[in-house]
Amino acid sequence: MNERTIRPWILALAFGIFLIAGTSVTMAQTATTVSTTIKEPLNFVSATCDTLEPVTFTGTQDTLYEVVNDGTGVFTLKIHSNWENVIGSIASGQAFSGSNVSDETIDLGSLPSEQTITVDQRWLGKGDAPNLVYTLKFNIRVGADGIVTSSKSSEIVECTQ
Amino acid sequence: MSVNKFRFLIPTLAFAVLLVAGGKSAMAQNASTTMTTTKEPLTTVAYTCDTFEPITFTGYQKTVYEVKDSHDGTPLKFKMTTSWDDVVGTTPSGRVYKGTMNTKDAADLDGLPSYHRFTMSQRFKSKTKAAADTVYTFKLKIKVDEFGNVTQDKEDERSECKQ
Repeated sequence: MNERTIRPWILALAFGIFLIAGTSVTMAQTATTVSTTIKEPLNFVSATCDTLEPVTFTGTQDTLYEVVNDGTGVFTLKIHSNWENVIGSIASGQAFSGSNVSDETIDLGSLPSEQTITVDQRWLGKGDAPNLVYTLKFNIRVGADGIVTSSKSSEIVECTQ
Repeated sequence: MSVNKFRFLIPTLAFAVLLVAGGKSAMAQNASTTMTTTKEPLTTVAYTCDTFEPITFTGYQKTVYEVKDSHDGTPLKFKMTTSWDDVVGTTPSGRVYKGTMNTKDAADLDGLPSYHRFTMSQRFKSKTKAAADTVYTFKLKIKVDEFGNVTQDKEDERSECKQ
């Protein structure tokens, strides 16, 4: 094989190597996100902090979980909690509407992963009166595929500041 | 009443309707919002809950308070947006703990001035599986003056290990 015959082969080989390397870099830099929405149904009876009237909380506390793989094997869990679909009703007709929206980020390391998260909704008291605080704690599991499952581990409504 | 008289009445009535609607629209546009931003430094020394290293924090916990008066007889709307994004904690061994919590809360206010007490927290996840997290908490008293301006007094600041 003479030099003239080899030249095109060398060029073709070099081009092929660049192409494969370029594809690998692109794959490594491609971030992926797996989203899971969980609507936790509520049916919980507590009491107002001032008149101690029973309050019945219903609706759903909604959480969007986003598992982000940045493309280099680093996994991050983004938690978007929303209480806007929660309402607390008392006999006299007054309602406690949920309004809290919160965002939090947790570094996961690797998958699968297990985490404990806490979300809460606070209804402000006036002056020195305590706040009515509804707290939910979840044990969550992030599967190898990024899908999140959760189970409620505690649920409490308390008067606190 | 003749048709001619009606002809004058119809434009007058239409004008009156437009005037009332315009008045209501103008009232709605008079809604005012007062905003206050606070920055709270983290001054308490926290500890990691697995190795008990001190965590030194830099940055601020930021809060934006909004008081909206619609001037239409409805309750004043109070909004509170908190962010721990600027907070970073470091340990002598090189661990880094970043604040990530952001919250939005809303409430109706009966009137001004008013004051309220509440706590806000950031949970710094442990770097060791199953170990407790470091939870940093502010207890605050906020006063809303008659103009909707908010002042914030820190009544307590603590760091605890919690599961």
